[in-house]
This record gives sequence, C-alpha cells and structure tokens, in this order.
Amino acid sequence: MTETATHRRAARTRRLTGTIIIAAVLGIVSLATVLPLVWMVFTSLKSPAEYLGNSWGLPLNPQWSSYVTLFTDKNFGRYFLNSLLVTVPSVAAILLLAAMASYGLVVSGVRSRGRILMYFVLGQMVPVTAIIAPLYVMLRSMGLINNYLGLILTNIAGAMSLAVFLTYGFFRAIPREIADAAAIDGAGHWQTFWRIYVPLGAPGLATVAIFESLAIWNEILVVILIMQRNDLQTINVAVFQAVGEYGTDVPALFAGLTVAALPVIITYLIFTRQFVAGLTAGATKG
Amino acid sequence: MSRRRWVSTVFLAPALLIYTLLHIAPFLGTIALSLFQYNGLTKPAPVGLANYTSMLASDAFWQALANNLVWFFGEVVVATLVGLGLALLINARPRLATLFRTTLFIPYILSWAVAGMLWSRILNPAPTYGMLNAFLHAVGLESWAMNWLGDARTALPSVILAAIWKGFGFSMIIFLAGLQGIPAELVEAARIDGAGSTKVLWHVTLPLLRPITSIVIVLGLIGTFKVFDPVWVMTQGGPGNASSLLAILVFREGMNNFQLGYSAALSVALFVCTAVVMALYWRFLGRSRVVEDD
Repeated sequence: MTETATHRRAARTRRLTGTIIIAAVLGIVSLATVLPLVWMVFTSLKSPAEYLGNSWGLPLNPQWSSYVTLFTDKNFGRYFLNSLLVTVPSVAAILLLAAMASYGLVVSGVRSRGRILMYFVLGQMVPVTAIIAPLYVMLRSMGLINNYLGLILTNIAGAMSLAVFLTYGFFRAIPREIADAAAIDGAGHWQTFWRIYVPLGAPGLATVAIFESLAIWNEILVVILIMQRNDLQTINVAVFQAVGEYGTDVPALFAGLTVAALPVIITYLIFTRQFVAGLTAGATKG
Repeated sequence: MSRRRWVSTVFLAPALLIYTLLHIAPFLGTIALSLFQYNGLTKPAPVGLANYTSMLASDAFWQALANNLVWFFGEVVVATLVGLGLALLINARPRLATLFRTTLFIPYILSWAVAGMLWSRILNPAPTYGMLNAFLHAVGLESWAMNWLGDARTALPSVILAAIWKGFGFSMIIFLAGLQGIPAELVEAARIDGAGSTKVLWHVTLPLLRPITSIVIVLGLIGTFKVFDPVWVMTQGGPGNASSLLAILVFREGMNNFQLGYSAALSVALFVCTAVVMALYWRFLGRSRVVEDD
C-alpha cells in the first residue's frame, strides 16, 4: 500500500518537473519572440541622441516626441485615416455582398447552386499577383488609379471568393423550417434575409470580418499598385515607402511602426479567441 | 419556381458582378495580355508567344522559381516544424499555457510593413544600428557579422528567417486544434499498455497529426507562389535577383519596367504553379473526405 503511494508521489514529482521544464522552454521562446517588438516600443520612446548612445537598453528618459513628430511632420494622421477609409467600407461591403450571395445560393435551385458556388471557389486559384497588369490597365482606363473607390472595389472583388464560400457554409446549416415559418407569417425574402439569415449566420460573418479586416489593414501589394500618390497611401505602406525620410532617426521610424501595429495588437489581445478562430478558418478553408 | 430563381439572381447579382469584373475578367485579361507587347502607353502589339520564350530563356525567371522552392523548404517546412514543436509543448498544459499561446501568435497578425522594417533594422549591417551584428560584436564573433540583406548569399535566408518568426504561430494554432481533437482515451490506453511519453508521442500523437501536417504543408506550398510582401519590404528582390521570387518579378516587370505583356506572361506561370498544387490538394482533400464518410 505505502509502496504504491510512494510510487505515485514519485510519478507526480516527475510530471511536475516535466511541466516546469516545458514552461521554462516556452517562456524563453515567447520572450525571444516578442523581443523585437519590445525593442521597437522602447526605441520609439528614446530621443535620437539617446538612441545613438543607448541602442538596446530601456529608455532612460522616455518621451513621446517621436509620436508627436509623426502626426505634425510626417502626415501620419492622414495615413491612419486613409487606412480606415479603405478598410471599413471594404469590409462592410464584403460582408453585405457575401451574405446576400449566400442567401441567393440558399434559395436557388440545386443545380445552379453547385455551379455558382464552384465559380466563386475557382477564384481561390487566382491570387492577386496573377492579375496585376490587366487590373492596373483596367482601373486606369476607368480613372480608378489613385482613387479610394478603385482600391475598395479591388479589395471586395479579391475577397469575394473566400467570403462567399465561408458565409455560405454557415447559411447552409440554418434549418429551412425557420425561413419557411417566417414566410408563412408573411415575411418577404428581404426580411427573411435580414431577420433570420444574417443574425443566425453571424458567427460566419464574424469570421469573414476578422480575416478580411486584418488582410486589408495589412495589405501592401494592391495598395502600392493602386495608390501611387503618397498622400493616399495607407499607414502600412506609408511607413515603409517613406523609410528614406527618416534617415538616422530610428526612434521616429519605430514610432511609426508602433502606430501601424498597435491597433491590430490591441484588437487581438481583446478578442484573442475570435481572432485566432477567424484567421485559421480563413486560411485553411480556402 | 421562376420567382425563386429571380430572387436568387437579385441576391447574387452584386457579388457576381464585382467578382467577375475585377477578379475573373482581369485574369482572362492576363492570358490575353501575355500575348502582346505593351508598355502602358502606345498601342499593344501582338507578339505571339514571344513573352513566354523570353521568359523561359531568362535567368531571372529560373532564379525566382528556384528561390520559390528555397522559400518552401526554408520557410514553410521549418515554420511548420517549429509550430508543431511548440504546439506539443503547450498541449502538455504547463502553467501559463494560454499566455504563451497568445504571445507566440502575435507576429502572425502583424503586417509585413511592420515586421519587415523591424527585421531590416535587426539585420542592419552597422553594429550600432543592427541588433544581430551588435550581438555578434558583443560576444566576440565580429568575424561573423555581415551585411545580411545586402549580400547575395545571405539576403534570401535572412528574409526567410524573418518569415519563420512571423509565420510559425499559424501552424502552432492549427496543430493545437488538432491535438485537442485526439481522444484522451487513446493516449490513456497506450499509457495503460505501458507506453512512456516518448512512445505515446511517436506511435499515437504524431501519426494522428499526419493529415493536419499535410494540410499545413500544402497550404504553405500554395502560399509560396504568392509571397510578395516580405521580400518587397526587406530587399525588393535584391541584391540583383538574389532574393527575388516569382511575384516580385511580376510586379517589377509590370510596374517598374512597364513591360505589361511580359509581366502578364510571368503571372500566367505563377498561376499555373498555384493551380497545379491546388488541384492536387483538392483531390487529396476529396479522398480524405470520402475516407471520413466511411
């Protein structure tokens, strides 16, 4: 009896040391992973003079002057606004159009449904890098280069394939009886769509919203293709296109990077679970 | 019935219209444009397959294709293995497991503008500015210090290093989801049969993760042909073509050299690579779904 107890205690100690070692390893890797980001924030709080003498340490005399310079001298207010003016309407339109298309698929005949869905899914095989030359020529002929609408429409078109596929997956699971009952109560299609499918399909739409918001906020290629004028660029493009302007003022550059990254990191830390679920669903269900 | 079809058409129309006009039509345009010489200003001149023959004869194209393969083995495979290792550790549920998981995923959500600029600074050749070279100086390995992004031998590996840092969080999360799907009874049964942790890992856990591993690797392979941002931000493909990838060539030829027809031919090559891998992936997925149904 006592023998098994000692045995069990030994096993428990062994397992405990095991998890302590694992935690230590994970702790070190996690620290190493965020170290560049910590360095970025620390550096952004130093004056250029302090940075030259103290490149790696804690900011001894932390100051916000680099951040102020960004908004007074480097036009960062405008870039930030540009990012919002592109991301918010793009994502809103993607959600509306994908939800409407999914409802259209739900009510359509079986045969056309399969064909249309396949037509949307095929778009996954065409990355935006495979269409940039004609896209540029087309948008230019429509006067949509250096134009918010041009960028927004391109974002919507590029997102539609995945967005419809994901949203339809959720809409399909909504029992038809609910919609039928609503129809008997006199609801039209538009009401059934808004009152039943949109609320019940909300988890799918949330997935699309998270995935696309991040993709569009972080987008580089399409932005440099369409927004060739500096004052129209989004924050994530402006911050590296203008790198020459910063010269040796590394703190100002890092303050810029911090401003570009912070909205994303904060949103992620608040909505970690939804964020992770949305990103992985978006990236694996393609 | 005809009313239903009408309703369906109305709801589908906006999405179909914009998707066709700005995604599918430009793709057909790519194929057409690849048969022309077009500088964006003068009238396009039909040249037959000349763009393709000059593409296949150019060193830059083959170098980019080879670099895409290097990217796959260097970035995708390594990031997947790192992600798998970390997922296994987190799945042992040590203290603070949630904190570690949340922290390790952070690089994945950053933009390449931020991650690329940050790593450009870390890899900066001047010891005062570059973290890596400063570290090498500090530990007495000055001779190892390099112009990481400016040297043809290290430019691509350096960008790949940054991409592993940014990318492993993704496979880690996917593997964690897979690990949670392994029934506890299976592991329990193996333990009762006297299997130690290593044996359980080798004979139970890893074999059960094999389908997920293939999916992560294939997704990575498809993604490889689209990679643009990290290289564009950190090296723009340089020095020379040392770190250039297919997508970089497409953009550079089209937007910097105004060879829009040639750029389109490169786009077609990029599409073919993506489509072949994707078609294989769908066949593979289709088969595994059939297996699940049985």
